[in-house]
Amino acid sequence: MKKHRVPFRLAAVAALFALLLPALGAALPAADAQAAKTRVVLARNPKAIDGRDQCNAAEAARLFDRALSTLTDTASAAEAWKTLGVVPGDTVAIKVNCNNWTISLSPKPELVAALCRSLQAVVPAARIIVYDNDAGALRAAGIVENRLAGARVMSTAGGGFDEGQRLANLLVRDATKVINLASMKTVDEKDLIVSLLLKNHIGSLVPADMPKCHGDHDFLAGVCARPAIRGRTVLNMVSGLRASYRRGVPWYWGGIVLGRDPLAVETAAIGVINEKRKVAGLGALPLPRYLAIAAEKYKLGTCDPARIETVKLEL
Amino acid sequence: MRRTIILLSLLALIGPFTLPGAAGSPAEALFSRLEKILPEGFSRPTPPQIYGTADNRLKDGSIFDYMDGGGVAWIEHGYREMFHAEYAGKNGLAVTLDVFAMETADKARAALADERICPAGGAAAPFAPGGRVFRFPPDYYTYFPVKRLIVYLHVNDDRQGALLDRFAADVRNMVEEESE
Repeated sequence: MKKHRVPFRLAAVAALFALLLPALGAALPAADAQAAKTRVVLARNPKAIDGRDQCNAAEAARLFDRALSTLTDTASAAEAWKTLGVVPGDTVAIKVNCNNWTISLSPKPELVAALCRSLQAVVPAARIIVYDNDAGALRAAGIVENRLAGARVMSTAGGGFDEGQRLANLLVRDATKVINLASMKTVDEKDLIVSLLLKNHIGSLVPADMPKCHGDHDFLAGVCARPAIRGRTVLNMVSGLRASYRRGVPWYWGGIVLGRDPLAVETAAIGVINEKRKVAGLGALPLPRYLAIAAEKYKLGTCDPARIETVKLEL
Repeated sequence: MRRTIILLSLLALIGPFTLPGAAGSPAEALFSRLEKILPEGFSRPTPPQIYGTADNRLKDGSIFDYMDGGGVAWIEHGYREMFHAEYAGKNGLAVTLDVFAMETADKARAALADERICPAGGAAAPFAPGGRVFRFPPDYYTYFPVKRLIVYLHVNDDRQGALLDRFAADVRNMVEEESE
C-alpha cells in the first residue's frame, strides 16, 4: 500500500498543475514581453543649464540621481550601482566625447562630477577614470581632475594601446567596468548622421583605426562588440543639456538619456533630436545603418521601439 | 666618387626639409603671414597648426586629426590644407581662426553652400560678401569665402561679436592681399 502513496500524491500535484497551467500560460506571454523590454530613461531638468551654457551643479546632480534611480528602480546610489553590477573592487572607465569643433557640445564637468560622486557610493574616486583620446580637448572642455569629485582624468595616448583589441590600454587592462557618456550631437554627415554612443568609442581606438569608422558601418558597429567594451559596459548615457539638432546648430534640451542597452539609448536620443527637428520644420533623421548592424550582427541590443520601455522624467 | 659623396651629403642636408610636413605647403606664404596677426588684446598660447589631407599630411597631420569625421565633407569639396590658431583673451575669452585652402574659388563657394560645413540661416556677414554669421549664445561664429579660401572664426562669448567682426575684417584684408 505504502508504495502506491507517493505516485498518488505526484499524480494529484500533476493534476493540480495541469488545471492551473492554462491560467499561468495566459499570464506568461505578457510578463515575458514586459521582461524583454529594455528601459530607457529620458530625464529633463531645465534648471540644470541656462541659455548661455552655464550648468548648475546641484540641479545637474539631481537630474542624474533621479534618472539613475528610475532606471534601476532603486532608492540609493549604492543600490543602483549594485543593480548595474558595479562592485567595490571595480575600476570604472567613463568615456566622454570632448571634440569642441565648432560649438562646444562636450559633457558638462558638473554632470560628469555628479556621475563620479554617485559612483563613489561603491567605488573609491581613485578607481574612477574619465577619458577621451585628446588631452587638449579634455582640458578645453573643463574635464580636469579638480572638477570631477576626485576622479582621475586620462587621455588614451598616455597609457598606450592593446594590440589584440586595438583599444586603449586603460580600457583593456585597467577598467573592469565601462560607462559610455556621449554627447547629443547631430553631424549631418552622409554616412554617420549623428555622433552618439557607438561613435563615441572611436576615441577608444588606436588612432590609425579611427578613420575606418567613417564609411564602414560594420567596422563602427563592431567596435562596441569588442570584449573590453561589450563585456564591461554597465551604463550608456547621452548628455543633451546642450545638444545639436543639425550640424553647428545647438539647443538647450536640458536633459539626459540613459539605459543599459546602447542601441536603445541611441535610438531614443535620435527620437529626441527628431522631436526638435520637427519643431524646426526639418525632416526626421533616419536611424543610422550601423545601428541595425549592431543589433542584427553583433547582438549589442535593440533599436526596435516595440522592445524599448521609455520612461520620461520632468524635474 | 668624390662627386657622389658631395651629392649624398647635400641630399642628407636637404632631405629633412623635403619630407612631408617639413616642406612648405602651397599656402605657406599666407600661413606664415597669418601667424603674425592677433585679435586686439589677445595672446596666442600655442603655436598655430597646419593640417593637410590623409594623403598629404602636413606639419600637424591631416584634417581628420583636427576635426575627426567632419573632414569628410571638406575633402569632398576639394579641401587641400588648413591653418588653425587659437587666441586667449581676458576672463577666459577664446577666439579660434581656421583658414581652409580649397582647390578653386568655385569649390570654396560650393563648400559653403553645403550644410555639413556651414549651417543654413544665420545673418549676412557685414565684413565679407558671401559670408554668414551665427549667434548661438554663448557662441558667435562666421564663415566667409575669399577666392579659393574659406575663413572660419569663432568666439566663445557672443557679447564679444563686435571684436570678432573687427578681427574678421583684418583677416579678410590680409587673406585677400595674399590671394592676389
